[in-house]
Amino acid sequence: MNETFNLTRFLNLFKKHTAEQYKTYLISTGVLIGVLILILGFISYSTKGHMGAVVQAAMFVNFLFFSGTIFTSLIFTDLGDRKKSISTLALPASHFEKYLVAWIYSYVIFQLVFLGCFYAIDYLIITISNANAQEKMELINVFSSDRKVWVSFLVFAILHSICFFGAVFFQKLHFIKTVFCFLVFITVLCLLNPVLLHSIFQEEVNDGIPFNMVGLIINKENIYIEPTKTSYIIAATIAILISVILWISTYFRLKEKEV
Amino acid sequence: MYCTTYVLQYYFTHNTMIELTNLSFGYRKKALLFWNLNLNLETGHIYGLLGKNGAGKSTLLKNIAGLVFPTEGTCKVNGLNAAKRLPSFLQELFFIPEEMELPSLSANGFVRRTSHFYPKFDHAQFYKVLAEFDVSPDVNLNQLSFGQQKKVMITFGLATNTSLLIMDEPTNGLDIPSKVQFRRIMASSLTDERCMIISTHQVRDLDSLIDTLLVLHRKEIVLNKSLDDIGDRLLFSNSSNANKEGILYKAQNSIGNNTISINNQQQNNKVDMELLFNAIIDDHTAVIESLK
Repeated sequence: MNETFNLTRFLNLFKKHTAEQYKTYLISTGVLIGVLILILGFISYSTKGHMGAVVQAAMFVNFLFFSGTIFTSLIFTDLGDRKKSISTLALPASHFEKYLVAWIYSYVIFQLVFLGCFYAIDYLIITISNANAQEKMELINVFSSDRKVWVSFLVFAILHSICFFGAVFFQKLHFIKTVFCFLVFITVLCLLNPVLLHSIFQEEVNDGIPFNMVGLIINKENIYIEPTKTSYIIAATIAILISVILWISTYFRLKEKEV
Repeated sequence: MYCTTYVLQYYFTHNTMIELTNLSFGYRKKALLFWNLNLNLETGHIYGLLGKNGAGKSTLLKNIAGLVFPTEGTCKVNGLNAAKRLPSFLQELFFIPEEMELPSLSANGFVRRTSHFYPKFDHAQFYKVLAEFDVSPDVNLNQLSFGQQKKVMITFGLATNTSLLIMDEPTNGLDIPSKVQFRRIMASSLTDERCMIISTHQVRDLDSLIDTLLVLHRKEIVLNKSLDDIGDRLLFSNSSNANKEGILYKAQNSIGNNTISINNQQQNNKVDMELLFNAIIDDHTAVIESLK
């Protein structure tokens, strides 16, 4: 018997998870659709149908991050519930199979469902607003390189990996605790970054926001150093690496999970 | 000749299933619940695990099931390390917890989605026992009372035919007729390949059900003896029928005294588990010593 992965066992686990959770997932999708209709509809109404690509992109990114992190944080809720944790951990499937089902639902299926819902609602709102308008609005293409909305998928991978780890690490209040830890981390990073920049450049630091340009004051003159294209590639590579490390860490945390 | 045959038969039919070796556990390192526990449990038995509230009965069961990890020592079930929770280990184990929340499925749906994880699952047995418990397989599990949900899980656990069945306070939530049914169904489900552990603080619920008594007290298993063995060594009676020279424990009741005395005459008697348990937790070491 393969103790790590067996396709039949995995499919059975996937079907079991779907049968037990589909009602919750359908209701959650309904809520997402409702909120999207409400917000996009309100914006379109208040701008008299002029919901441009920038607004659509902003809505896409915000909703993706917000709903995605909440959904991911709740994917392992059963492990923190003492009435459900025993049956979850004692079910005869490997840790990897249990992990994979949660990963596929929270990362792959969530993004597919989100894309479908967003485009359906956005298309509906744009079609209605274009009906009697002189200036026609265009549906945004989130995969186009024009506005770099696709970068949000990369950022979502990091946010997903953080929330995925938090979902297993914390027993309760997964989302709140994960966001709190993330904010503490970002605050510490923002406070330490200028100190680090000062020790590197040995000059007074004017602007030291992490992952952005560096502002230095040299001989009372403000000098800004812009990141190069390579810097962005390095940052993106590090982001992917961090996501992968956190995903792997989540697997090992799941293996060590106790009731 | 007879003796050799008996011994061989015993070893063929009663194999050590659970081996706890120098097991220590505590939720905090400085406050251990068990210390240096050694215990072997065999197939073909229904073990009753007794202990005071907070003694660690549920925690011991969780250690055996690999749901918590020992601070020191090992716990092996069928030769596999419980803490690894491998599928081959889990498919031979079914754990019925004290508290549970079942998914929003009918018993039929639950069986359809879960039974294939257990290779020895017997569908006919499941529906037969469920009918005995008088629970409909078509009703959503969430709409059943707590007692009925427990009956479904007990039935499912029995039908899995796993070699190890662990039940933590299974009679909580069951009404009196159901407790009688439970004892009958449990007794009829024991096979030579199976080991069942039932933890409870309601000692009377285990009457006529278990064959071996385990008592967890002061971080240790202070008793691991079959009821037959206990009955051979100790006499449970009122004071007039007791072995007056060998009285080890006495407890007053409304009409006199119940006693535990040394069974010199090898009299047949029924073990009063409640009296024995009270003697042990009242730290009457003479009772335990006489059983060693």
